[in-house]
Amino acid sequence: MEEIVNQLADLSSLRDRHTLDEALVRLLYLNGKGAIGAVRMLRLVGEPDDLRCLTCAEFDAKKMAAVRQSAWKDWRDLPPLTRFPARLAARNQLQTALKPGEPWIAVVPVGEVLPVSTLLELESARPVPADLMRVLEGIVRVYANLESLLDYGEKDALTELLNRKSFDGAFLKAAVELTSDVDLSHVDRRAVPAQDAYWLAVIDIDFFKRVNDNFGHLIGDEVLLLVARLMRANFRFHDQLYRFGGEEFVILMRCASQDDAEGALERFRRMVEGHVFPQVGSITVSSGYAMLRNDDTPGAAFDRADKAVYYAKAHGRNQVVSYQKLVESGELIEEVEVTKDIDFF
Amino acid sequence: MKKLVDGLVGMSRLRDRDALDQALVQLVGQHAEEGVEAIQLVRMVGENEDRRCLTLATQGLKAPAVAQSQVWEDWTLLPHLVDDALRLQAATTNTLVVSKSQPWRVVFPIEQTLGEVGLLLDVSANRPFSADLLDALGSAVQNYRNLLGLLDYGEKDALTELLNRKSFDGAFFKAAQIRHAQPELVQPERRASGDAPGHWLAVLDIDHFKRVNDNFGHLIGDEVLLLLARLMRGNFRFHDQLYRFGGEEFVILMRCPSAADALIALERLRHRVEGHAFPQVGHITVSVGFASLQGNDTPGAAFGRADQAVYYAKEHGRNQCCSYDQLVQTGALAQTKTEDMDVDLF
Repeated sequence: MEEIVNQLADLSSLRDRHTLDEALVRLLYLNGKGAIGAVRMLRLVGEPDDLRCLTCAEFDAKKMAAVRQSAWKDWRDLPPLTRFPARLAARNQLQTALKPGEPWIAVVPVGEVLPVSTLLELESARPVPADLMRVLEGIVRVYANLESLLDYGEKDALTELLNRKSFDGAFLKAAVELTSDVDLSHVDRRAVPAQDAYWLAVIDIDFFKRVNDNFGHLIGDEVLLLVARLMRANFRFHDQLYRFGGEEFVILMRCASQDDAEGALERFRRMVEGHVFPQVGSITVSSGYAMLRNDDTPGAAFDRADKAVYYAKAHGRNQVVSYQKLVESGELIEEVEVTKDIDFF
Repeated sequence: MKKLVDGLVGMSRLRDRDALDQALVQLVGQHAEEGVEAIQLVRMVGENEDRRCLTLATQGLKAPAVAQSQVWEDWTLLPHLVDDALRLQAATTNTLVVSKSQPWRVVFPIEQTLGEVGLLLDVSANRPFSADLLDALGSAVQNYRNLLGLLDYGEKDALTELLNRKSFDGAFFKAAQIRHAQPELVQPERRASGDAPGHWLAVLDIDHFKRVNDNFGHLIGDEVLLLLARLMRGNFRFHDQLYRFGGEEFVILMRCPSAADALIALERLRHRVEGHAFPQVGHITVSVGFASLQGNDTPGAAFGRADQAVYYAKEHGRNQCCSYDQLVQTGALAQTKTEDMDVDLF
């Protein structure tokens, strides 16, 4: 009986979100005491009116291991939420939804406020006893609280984008993933196209100081908030969006080619340019981006992208500049210094 | 089982450290049927032989030994750690210690950072502790520790382990509340002259820090920040809250008996920093500005006042502590209207 408290203690010791997801599905399966045949964690991605289900962790009797699906596919290939009435009901009504049949399906929403973006799906041969269901729901609630504690620490209070805290970790993970893709490319070629690479983009709002000076901090904050919202709408669910403080935003994105990366940034630049900001009117952004390299460090990659932003600012602003292209065209001389490290604290 | 899980659900929802402390004590209190009678969560404050026990949360105790308000004034009223053998053993060995005879007690050490026991959970019972009960209490402690760790992770600066901005607003409003809760204790004229207990907000900035980074590189620069944070921890008391607001800017939210005491504490730090030999860099100095918290103060406004005093210190030779209130009194600074003074704290 105390075992579950221990298990929840293990859960609360985790900082890595993927590991946390895997630990949760495993914990639910084990506490199902044989009644639960499979546990799946689903993230709802896509557009608000076209949500799709991404299975991000799964545990079942056959595999006896939590498996993670690659997040790098096009969301339009994922099954629509509307195809699963129980999932839809759990999401909309904020409570566990049941679907009788073989197997029985119970869908538990994660979180207590709409809109919910994560669901847990439990499969069982028979209906899950009410007592057991309440314990499992309790575990899900602890998970939801832990996730929001992580959000609290890792997200910027104003824009709800990620703050710097988790950037280094995400960066190094991306670097490791790239290296291991090469080694494991035979395992699942389709999920991870071999030519994929990571790009780091730095986006800076042009003349933001003027916004604050002329309209005050409240309006300035409103602009930051709206820019963050445009970012969320423009980039894909697996692109990681950060606010590094002030008017500086960072994106860690995985794309098939330099053209794709530039395309996404250019689309965002136009989106901002065309947006009417209350009181302020129009604003523009300057972006710089650079490809992640082998043995890259967060500081070095940031520095390259930042150089490209600097170039964009010095050459008329409101544009997207590639560090690579600047070096290739001789506009920038690459520094061969290895100790290029930026203070990320 | 449902009840225990519910307890953890409630505990994991908390962001406030005081509430988290209370939740742990309540969770342990659920074991009354198994003999648990009194629970005390204590933080160890002070250093070495002079370590003392500050009670954070209790249940089942008849009356706390020392009232919280007395502690603000004089922390030497707190009981010494060395006077309690069980607690001392738990703190020094970092293992749980169970009494071998009546009174039945167990003390759990709670690590805050790796290897460093900062808190103790002291539980009394009316019978010997069963192995099952010890396991259960241990799990509760483990949950508490992890949640505290998650809060630390979010609210502390990774380099210096001082608090980051995130929790500043909350702490500020809490401090403002304490001050307002007891206005009748202080005559208005004493308060106006700064001769009354209250909170002060200090902003500290390292002089010419950019030169350190430029001349010695970021690694050495980080080392300086780390050492300064350590000097700060050694200089202020346990109830003063120390923040790093990014870069070379530090903030201190301090409670003092008077403005003179606030100045003494800040001067002591300034002096210590001045006398410290930083590896490679040699000597550095700091400029400090501070301001008293006002009624209806906002974090941005108070920060803005202290920041103006720092600016004044920087303009007038650096390596000094300047009081905003005094600068205004002497006419060196013109008082700014509160509404113009809002600083972006995001």
